[in-house]
Amino acid sequence: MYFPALLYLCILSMLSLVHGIPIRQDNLKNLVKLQAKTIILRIKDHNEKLKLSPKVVIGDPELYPEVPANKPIQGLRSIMDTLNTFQKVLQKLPNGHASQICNDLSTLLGHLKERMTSMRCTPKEPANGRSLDTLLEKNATHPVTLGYLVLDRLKEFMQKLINNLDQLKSC
Amino acid sequence: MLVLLVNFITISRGRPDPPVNLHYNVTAEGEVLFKWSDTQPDSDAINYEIRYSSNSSLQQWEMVKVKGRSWVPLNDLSSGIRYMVQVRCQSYFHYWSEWSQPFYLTLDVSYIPAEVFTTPGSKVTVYAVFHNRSWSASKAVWMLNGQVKIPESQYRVINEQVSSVTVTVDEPGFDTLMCCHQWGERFKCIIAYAKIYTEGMFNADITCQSKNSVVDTMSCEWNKSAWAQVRLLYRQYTSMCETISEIESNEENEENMSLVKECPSGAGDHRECTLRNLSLFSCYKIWLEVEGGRGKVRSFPVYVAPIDHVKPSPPSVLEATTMPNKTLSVSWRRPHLPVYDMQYELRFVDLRGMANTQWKVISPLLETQAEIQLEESCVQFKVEVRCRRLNGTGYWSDWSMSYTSAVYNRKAPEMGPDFWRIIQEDTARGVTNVTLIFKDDVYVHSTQLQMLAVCIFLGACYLIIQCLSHLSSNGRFYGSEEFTLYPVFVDGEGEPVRYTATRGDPAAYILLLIIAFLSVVLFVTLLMSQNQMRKLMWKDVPNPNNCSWAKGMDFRQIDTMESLFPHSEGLTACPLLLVSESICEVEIIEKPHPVTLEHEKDKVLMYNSGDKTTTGSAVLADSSEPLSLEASTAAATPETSGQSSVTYSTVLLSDQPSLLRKQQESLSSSSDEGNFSANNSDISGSFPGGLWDLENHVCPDSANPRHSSSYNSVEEFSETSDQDYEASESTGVAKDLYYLDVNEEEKDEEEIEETQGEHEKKEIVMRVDARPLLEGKNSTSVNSNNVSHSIPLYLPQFRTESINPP
Repeated sequence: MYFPALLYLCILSMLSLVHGIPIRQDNLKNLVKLQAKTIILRIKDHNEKLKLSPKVVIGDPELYPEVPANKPIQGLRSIMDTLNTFQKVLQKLPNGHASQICNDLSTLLGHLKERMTSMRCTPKEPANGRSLDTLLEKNATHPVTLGYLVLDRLKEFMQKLINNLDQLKSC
Repeated sequence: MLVLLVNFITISRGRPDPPVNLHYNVTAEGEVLFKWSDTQPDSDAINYEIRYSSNSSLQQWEMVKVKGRSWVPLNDLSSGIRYMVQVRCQSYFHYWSEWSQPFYLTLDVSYIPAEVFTTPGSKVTVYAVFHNRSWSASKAVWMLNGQVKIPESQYRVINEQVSSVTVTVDEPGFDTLMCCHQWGERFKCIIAYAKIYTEGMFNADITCQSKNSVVDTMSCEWNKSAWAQVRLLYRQYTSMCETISEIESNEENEENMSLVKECPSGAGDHRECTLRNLSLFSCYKIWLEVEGGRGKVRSFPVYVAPIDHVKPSPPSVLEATTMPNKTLSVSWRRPHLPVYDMQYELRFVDLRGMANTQWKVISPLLETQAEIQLEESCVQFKVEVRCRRLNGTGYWSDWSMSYTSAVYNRKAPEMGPDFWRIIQEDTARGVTNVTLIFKDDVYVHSTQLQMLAVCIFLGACYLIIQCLSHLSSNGRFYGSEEFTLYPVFVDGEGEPVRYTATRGDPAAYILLLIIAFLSVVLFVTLLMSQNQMRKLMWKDVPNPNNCSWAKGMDFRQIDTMESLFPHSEGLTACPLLLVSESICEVEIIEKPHPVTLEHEKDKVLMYNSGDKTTTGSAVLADSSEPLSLEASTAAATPETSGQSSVTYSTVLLSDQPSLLRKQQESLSSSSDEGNFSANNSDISGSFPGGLWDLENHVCPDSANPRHSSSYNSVEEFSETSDQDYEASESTGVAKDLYYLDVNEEEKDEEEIEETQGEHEKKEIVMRVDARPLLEGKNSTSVNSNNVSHSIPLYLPQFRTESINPP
């Protein structure tokens, strides 16, 4: 009667010397969160170098609807569509500090695209393509404020994405 | 004729081409003028039609017709709305062209002019038109470079939608103007801004260096406005930089653009760029140019010779030794490139010092070695070295990797440490304690390890060992360490003594201790639970050797099995007798003369007994099966019956009453069919003389008619039966017989003691109910008339054994 109890006690004592095996988590959520935080920090650093007056507000939310502002996050498809729009704008900016942010965003898009493929989600057709092109064409000569506006809206979207990582589970 | 010719030409030309070059301008009054051009200069178009829509999919067009000119004011457009505009023309012969390519426009704030080229000190006036009707020019706010709000004194309100500002830029460079709308405490601005290019050269603080002795590449950094997009340009000269700079400062030469190169990664918003594939001894002119400035806004150039801007690699392979003569000897190896002469700088710090101890710097050093005078010897230092060009411009290298100096001890220190001595004498015990208090740490052996104690030689070996043990216990090492002691006596220094101290990793010992403890616990548990395991693992299989009816049988033999069950009709399955059931009593009356050891006689006796039993007693229960009786009658011979024939004998007095008692106890306390046990003495039926000897019980010894020989049913029968047989034969000791009484009321142990009384009886009477035999003398006066009717017994079946009487 006592033998099994003593044997189990010995086994448990031996097991206490062994490290536990961590539980596996959703890697994509953690990866997206880390990348989003990195992008946010880079944007803050970039815009701080511009040293704009804190009273200046470039691009009222009602203005320039071609650049996503306050976009709701409704699944992986909408996230991809919004991020693709941001990337299109960043690619039009001249080389500089925003280039690194563009690279980070491309990497994030790559991971999300893989997830979409594995979940067999169909990509969303980009809307307002011509309007965005017109906007970019017109403001190509104003890269500083254009970059500031798109990065500011991208930062807000990244923050919203961090708070809605569960949306990555659905198309 | 002429008219016909014109008509013919017109008809042959067909419809006119649609207009091209659609664009718009905004006037200083806030008017939007949409303009276009004809495809050909000599176009005969006379009428134009303009259509615009805010949503082309709905095809809700606004139409405007224009005659004789190629522009039209569009003042009805709303701000912030994307319009698509198209134009077509009509020829002289009323043929309309196709609609032109769409032109998209969105109006918000327009700057006039959008770009301004000025010179330092000139005034610049810029107008801003608010196309948003809700924005008023009276609330316009102008920002310079998005940072500084221009004073309102420099503003001018042209009309409700137009504001202007006048600024003066003093320095060459690039600046921006943003016209925002006051919105509470904040300023609402748009993406667009006006650009001011002030012609001239500005100071960009361009610095270049070749890092880590990679002399064919150079990294250049600069300062610039966050709004300016620049390009880094450079050009190579074969002359000396001093010469080139003088020439260019005196003359204004147009740059030969064919020789100018651009740093590929330096354009845009960057502030650094790396030039590659450079010539170490050439001169490079490097400058910045603002994009869109038409080459007129640029930075001051720098003339750089890569050889003068090298940051060498730090020195390597440092070696440092603290010498006994209070010097620190340091040597190192310089980088290979550049090949020019170098100077060095050395810094060192005492390892014993606190965290905020300052470095001591020795500079300049011209050789790759140095001897530094110290204040004391036997001290370790952390040493670092760096280098730079000796003659000419350059950069200091980074500090080398730190190196800890070794203490050189070729012999005993020339001077000992300072200490205080405390002497305590104990005259009672004759012991003198000498305590030394040292001022500083001292070395006691030739290794790098610094000890905090010193072994004192007073002529006794045990002092040496204790001291070394103390050292090893306070040491910070694991494993073995060799110590060397240099004894110093009054008359000189003695021979050095070597000692090896070991120290184990306490953590490893603790782990081993835990494992050993758990192993011991497991082993003890296994031992303690051996019986438990046996019960779990082993089936409760009866040992046939313990069964009286199976004695002497080899179950591996088929014959044995057959002999056990000889009758085809099978044996009668008789249940065990219940306690309350009575069985027949057998009474054996022995004749006074000894009986020969013949089976037949035994059989007769058995049979007689059986007859007597059947005739003399009538105590059989109705349902009881006289199992034992049948066995006794059926098993007339050992050969014919698998069941041994029942042979009863009287219990004779034994010479070893104590042994009897003990054996009887073991008999009563165990069952006849038990486990196989190593200790067969505990098993029932295991008692000395378990096997009856018929001959003996027929009184081989007349003095003790009740002697009977019996053998251990298990041990002696299987292994030692021969020995016991010989023993009994030689000694003639009669062993007593024991009955297994299943009656719960009485115990056999009690009756054993009374067995002794039976020796005196001459008549050997065997009763089935052994109790009367065992109860005492009176009870042993048995005869056929004293048959017990009350106690049923389970009678072990014993085989007869032929034993020669002593």
